[in-house]
Amino acid sequence: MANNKPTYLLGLACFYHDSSACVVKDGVVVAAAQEERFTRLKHDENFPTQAVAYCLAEAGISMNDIDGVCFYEKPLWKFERLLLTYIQEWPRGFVSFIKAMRAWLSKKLWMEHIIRKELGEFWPAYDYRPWYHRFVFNRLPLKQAFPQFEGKIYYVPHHLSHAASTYYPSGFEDATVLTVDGVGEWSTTSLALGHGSKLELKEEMVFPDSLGLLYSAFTYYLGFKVNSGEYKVMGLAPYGEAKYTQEIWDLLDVFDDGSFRMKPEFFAYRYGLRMTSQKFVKHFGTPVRQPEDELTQWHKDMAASLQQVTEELMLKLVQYAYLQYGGKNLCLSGGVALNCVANGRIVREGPFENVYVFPAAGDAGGSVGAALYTYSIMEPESHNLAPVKTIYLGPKNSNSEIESFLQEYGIKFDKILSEEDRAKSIAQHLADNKVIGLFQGRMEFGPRALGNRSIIADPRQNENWKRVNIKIKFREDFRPFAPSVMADKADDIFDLRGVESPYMLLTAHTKAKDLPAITHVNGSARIQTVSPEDNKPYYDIISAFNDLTGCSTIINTSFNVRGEPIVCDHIDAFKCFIRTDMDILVLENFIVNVDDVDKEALKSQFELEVFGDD
Amino acid sequence: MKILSTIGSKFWKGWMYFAEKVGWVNEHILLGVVYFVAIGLYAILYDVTRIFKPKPKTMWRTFEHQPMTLEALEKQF
Repeated sequence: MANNKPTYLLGLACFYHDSSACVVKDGVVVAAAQEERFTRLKHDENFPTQAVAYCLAEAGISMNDIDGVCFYEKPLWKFERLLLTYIQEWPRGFVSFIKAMRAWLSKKLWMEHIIRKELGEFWPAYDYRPWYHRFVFNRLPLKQAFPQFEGKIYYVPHHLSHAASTYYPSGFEDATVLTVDGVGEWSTTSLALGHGSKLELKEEMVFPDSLGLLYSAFTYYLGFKVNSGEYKVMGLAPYGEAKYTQEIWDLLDVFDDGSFRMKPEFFAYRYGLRMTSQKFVKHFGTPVRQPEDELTQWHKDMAASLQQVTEELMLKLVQYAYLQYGGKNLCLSGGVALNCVANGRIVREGPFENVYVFPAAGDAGGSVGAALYTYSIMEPESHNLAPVKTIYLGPKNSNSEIESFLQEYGIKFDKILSEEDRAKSIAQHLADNKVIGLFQGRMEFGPRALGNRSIIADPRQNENWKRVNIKIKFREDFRPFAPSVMADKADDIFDLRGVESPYMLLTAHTKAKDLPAITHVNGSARIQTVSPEDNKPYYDIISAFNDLTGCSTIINTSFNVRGEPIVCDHIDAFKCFIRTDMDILVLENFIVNVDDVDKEALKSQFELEVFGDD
Repeated sequence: MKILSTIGSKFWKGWMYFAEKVGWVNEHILLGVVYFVAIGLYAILYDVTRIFKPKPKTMWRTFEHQPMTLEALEKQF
């Protein structure tokens, strides 16, 4: 008799930054979430215990049903790279060596044990222990202690995880895959070829030559946090002029095939606790900016120059990929693929007809890639190549949960059951120039809020830009907002040339002149095209707003404040609402108006976290 | 009983503080020996061999770990 039991794989990414988990059922991602959303620690790197718990619950299974756990890198390759780097840099890497060894000897070298132990929480109480353990501990009050996960653990190379995370969800029958990030084990950039269910890494560039690390070095130099503030540098770039590109090219040896070597004398990340060397600082003639220092025009020009160099390098890499492997389709992944300005140029100027970027292109997406790749090896024949149709893979809260919460705290609300009336009501508030916290459906996976955990506003009002940045998000005033636009009207407003951007990973020029709040100083915008297939309730809101105002676009920014991860549940959303200057909070079918809420009284009832300056 | 518990707790905290400091010193001595002796020896050999390495014409290199099988994925290396 054939075994009809589905194959379940649990994907894990953790212990560097942005840890996450996912469950893949027969090659289809059924749940995925980042740990930071649950723990409320931005870029949380710890083992994703809560994300695992959620994914298992969403899939309706226990650890008993899991056929394998897939980890997003090979830890010992990484350790080998570390040791070899210290050999190469000896003797100047001593301080960094101590720090690294502390982390490795106490944690990372025991990866298998840690994974098994952490997953033991979800594992049925099974006495796996050797007899002498049982003999000793069963006589102590520790009978149920130390349950461990006993199944298989698979370690997928980091860049293969990235490549799989974008190739399998793309739905392409074949594609060239380019992954670019800081560093995995050795790889910093890789080229893979996908055909059917088969995905093979072909070439790689290795540490220390890395576009991601180049970007991070400048992120550090410009006073932002590495592995976190890169998107701020990208947002700063349009305010500057690319005056220093030659100085940046001087830091590199670029070869004809798009590969490059970073001149080691300018960078300190191989041996030190800083990203850049003294020579780097001398080269540019300006000291490293401290986070609290003012951002001058020089910093903006530097960000613009870096952005231009990044785009040029990405285009060279894409060109090489095309010359080497050809094809019509390109899949992009890795942290650098979150650079939507570079992606926009690849779409417009690159040689590939179709470009797909996985929305969780950073390390968080590694959990999905590791699980999908393992599945493709486990079941090469039956591999389901259905594209990932939704990125709303996180948890949701039901109307009844929300209603009980609102009633418990005596919060006044309007309950609107009809989807049509709800969309119209929200659109009316938008047209009345209200700023709305929108919480609906399942949470997005990846760094972008795509309409289910978003703050939305009218883009025609310039004041909304500063208001949302300063009074609601408490963040730098230069940070731009992204527009969500009805997919069928996107080409009227943006120069997208028929390309869809459902995950907010492309920028294009704005044709419309009356949308100041979402148009960057250089006339571009980071666009999310919304179709009813992507997100019907969100599409309906924009459509109702369009009916009222003739404007088919709204401001969409993530539902959080500076330093805080995007809200996960209705309670996080409510806390964010009462601590900011939002006018309306939409929790599924419930609408709360700020005028009906005694914020000060409620603040004392909630434990409001203090978030870092991120 | 309470007095004993308080004294015990203080002693425990003091011991932990002391042990942490001793651990810090031990860690630096042991890792220092590893770094300056073991890694140092390799580093000198590495520097010698580096002299004979030709300058690269490209930074691309072939990914060597093929094919990836389930058995290969089970390994951490």
